[in-house]
Amino acid sequence: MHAGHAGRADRQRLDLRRHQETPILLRLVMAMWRNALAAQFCAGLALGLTVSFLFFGNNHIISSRVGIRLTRDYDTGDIGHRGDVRKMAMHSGNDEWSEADHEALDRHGDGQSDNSFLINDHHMHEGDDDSAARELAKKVKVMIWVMTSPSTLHDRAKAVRDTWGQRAEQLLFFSSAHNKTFPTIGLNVSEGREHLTAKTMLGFRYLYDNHFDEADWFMKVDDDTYVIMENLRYFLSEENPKDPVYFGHHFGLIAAQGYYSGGGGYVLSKEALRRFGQKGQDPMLCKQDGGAEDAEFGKCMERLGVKTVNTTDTLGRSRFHCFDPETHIMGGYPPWYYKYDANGGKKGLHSISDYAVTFHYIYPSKMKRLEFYIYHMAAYGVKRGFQQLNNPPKDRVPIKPIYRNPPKKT
Amino acid sequence: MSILAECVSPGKAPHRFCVGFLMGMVVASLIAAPLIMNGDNYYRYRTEPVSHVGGVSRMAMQEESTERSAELWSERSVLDREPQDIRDPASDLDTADRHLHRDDNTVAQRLTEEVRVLVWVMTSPQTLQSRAKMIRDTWGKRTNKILFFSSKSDPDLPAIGLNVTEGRTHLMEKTNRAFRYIYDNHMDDADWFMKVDDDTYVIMENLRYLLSGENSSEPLFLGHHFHLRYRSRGAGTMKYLHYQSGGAGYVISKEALRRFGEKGRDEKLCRQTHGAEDIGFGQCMINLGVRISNSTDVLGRSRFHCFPPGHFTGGRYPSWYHAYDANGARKGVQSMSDYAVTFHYIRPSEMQTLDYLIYHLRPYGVLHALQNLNREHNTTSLPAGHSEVFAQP
Repeated sequence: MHAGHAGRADRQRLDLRRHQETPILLRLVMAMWRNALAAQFCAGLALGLTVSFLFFGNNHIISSRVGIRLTRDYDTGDIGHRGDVRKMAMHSGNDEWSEADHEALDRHGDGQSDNSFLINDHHMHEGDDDSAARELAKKVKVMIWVMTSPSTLHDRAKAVRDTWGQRAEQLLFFSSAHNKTFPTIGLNVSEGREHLTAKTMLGFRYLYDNHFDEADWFMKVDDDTYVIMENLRYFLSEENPKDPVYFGHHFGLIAAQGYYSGGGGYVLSKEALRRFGQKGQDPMLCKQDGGAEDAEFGKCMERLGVKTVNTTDTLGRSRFHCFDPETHIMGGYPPWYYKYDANGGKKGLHSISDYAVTFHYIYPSKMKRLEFYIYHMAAYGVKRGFQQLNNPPKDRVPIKPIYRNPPKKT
Repeated sequence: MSILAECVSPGKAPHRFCVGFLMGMVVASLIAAPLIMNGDNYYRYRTEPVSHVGGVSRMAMQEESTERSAELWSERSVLDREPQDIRDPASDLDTADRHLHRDDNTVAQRLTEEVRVLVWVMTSPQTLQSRAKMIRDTWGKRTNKILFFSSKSDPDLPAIGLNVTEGRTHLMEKTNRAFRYIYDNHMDDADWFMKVDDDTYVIMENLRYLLSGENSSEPLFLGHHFHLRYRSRGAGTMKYLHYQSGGAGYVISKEALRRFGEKGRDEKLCRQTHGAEDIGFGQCMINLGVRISNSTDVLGRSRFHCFPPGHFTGGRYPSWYHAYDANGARKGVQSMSDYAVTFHYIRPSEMQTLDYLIYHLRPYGVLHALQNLNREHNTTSLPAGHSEVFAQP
């Protein structure tokens, strides 16, 4: 008897020790597994469902579920694409962009079935009066260069060329590769985010070397930037190309006077381009490659004495935009935007000018829609008048960028 | 291999797991298959409810199921699950720049006085705060009169309670009651009466322009024209069931509302409950002798739209649309009229953006002339090939 007792006690002690060795959670799972029929079945079911969904691949299904929560864009054909845009927009102009982000962007550009951009209803528009716009086009000479690449040429650059590009008098496409049919000018630079600064420098240099006399203003945009040409000319009509000045969506960091977002587009005066042409190749003044192209270009401009100015209209509403209209209206900004935007990170219907000039992250399908809204769709019976929305230079209130330095990390 | 053996032999743990696993895969493929089949054209829209045409068979019509994709998942329920993404909608919407517009609104004003439209919005307690409010604060401001109908009344919006249960199965009842309420109380307030969903965006000026070419004392019915093919019982020939898409919004004339008010309770003419509200109401209108008027413009471009604009510019439709659209499911930027009237599946944030893009953003120096886009008014205004409009009551 004694031996038996001792044996049991020993066994119990042994059991205790073993129990102490395996973690409780694992024990629970194992107990469930051994005893519960339902648990085994459910585990199998769950695993089967998961495996199947993963197997059926379809980023569509998974990313579309994600896309639903973030937004449903006008065209839900691009399910989840806005999710990617927001991911993209999480980087400031200053961060290194990852190739994966741009991949995501490119992937959602258009598997569309209809490639035409042109609306052939000109005969219905014969009564339109665009004389004022045409006057401005004669008076204000802007040369625009579009930064594109071989991989985005045939969807995005083509969209630019067929939509708002039709209204630009002087439009050039720059890429890393020459293309005679499109046509694009090949710059001696490798593709990739890390060489965008070189692309920008070389692009403006090309303009200075070859087209300096052909225009008073020189603008750089991306191939997903939408420009409303008439409003660009209206804005520039009261500015002086002899001033060392440039315009765009103002970010209040990096340079003391701030700089302009690359995607939102920026316009140089003739004087600014002249200074760039004469001294811009000095690497002490202007970094020739590496970094973020808009930030580096902004520093370059500052060192050459070219000024940033307030580009808002008389009501303080923005004209150049680094995001698309819905983001600015709904205020779906990434957190960095509030630090960077020199105009206070405003949002809402009343924060954008009626004579807005640029929007960014406008993919080909969106370009089509913007064309439709701005130049075709109309509310019957409302005849639009001319608004006086410009701030002439002498009346312009200078804005100090709100944050002159990046916030210190605590 | 011994694991496989264990899987097959019943009574053991691995067996139960394997059975569960296989069932999981089967269930997943059933869910995923329709999505895969549609590939890139995967849409989260409800199909036009052919299944509800069963209700119409009570009116001695036998339908044949046309090709349709499976109902992927209900768009409505997806939108209802969205987080609130509106921050202070009302305060953000006052655009104080109208005095600067220098717009000449005389023509639009004249039309507002001459063409009176009463719009009623079908909403629900769940979507009232986000969607109905946004409508009230965006395009709702440009209506002559706008009413919101929900299952429960809400004094704040304000919304009229119809005392029905919420849910898609009760939409027919809701629609009937709403129109009856309007017939009883607001018959004299307008010449035209429009029904929309709370995710429909309406450009009121263009609606009035369209209706200015029509006569409200005739029994008329306009919207995004859908037709459904079916094989008629007995005759064995293919016929078309005509109606207007509910989500895209539809308008009826005063005469049509009068006929509905007088005879709409007759179960033989108008389905009272259950089934798809747009098909039901459409058939009701046709049985009462109301005529569908072609709402496309003189270039054949659509004005009412059951999808957001991007679908039309991109030409990416769910497969069922090609069978349903009576205008040939045209694609591309050229398929929409400059004077488009409605778009559907518009989220609250998109309504604000549309307000900005249509009424505020403009190119400096370009003055659009008024275009003559209305069709010549004629009696045979249906698209070619549709001689069957009226069912025999």
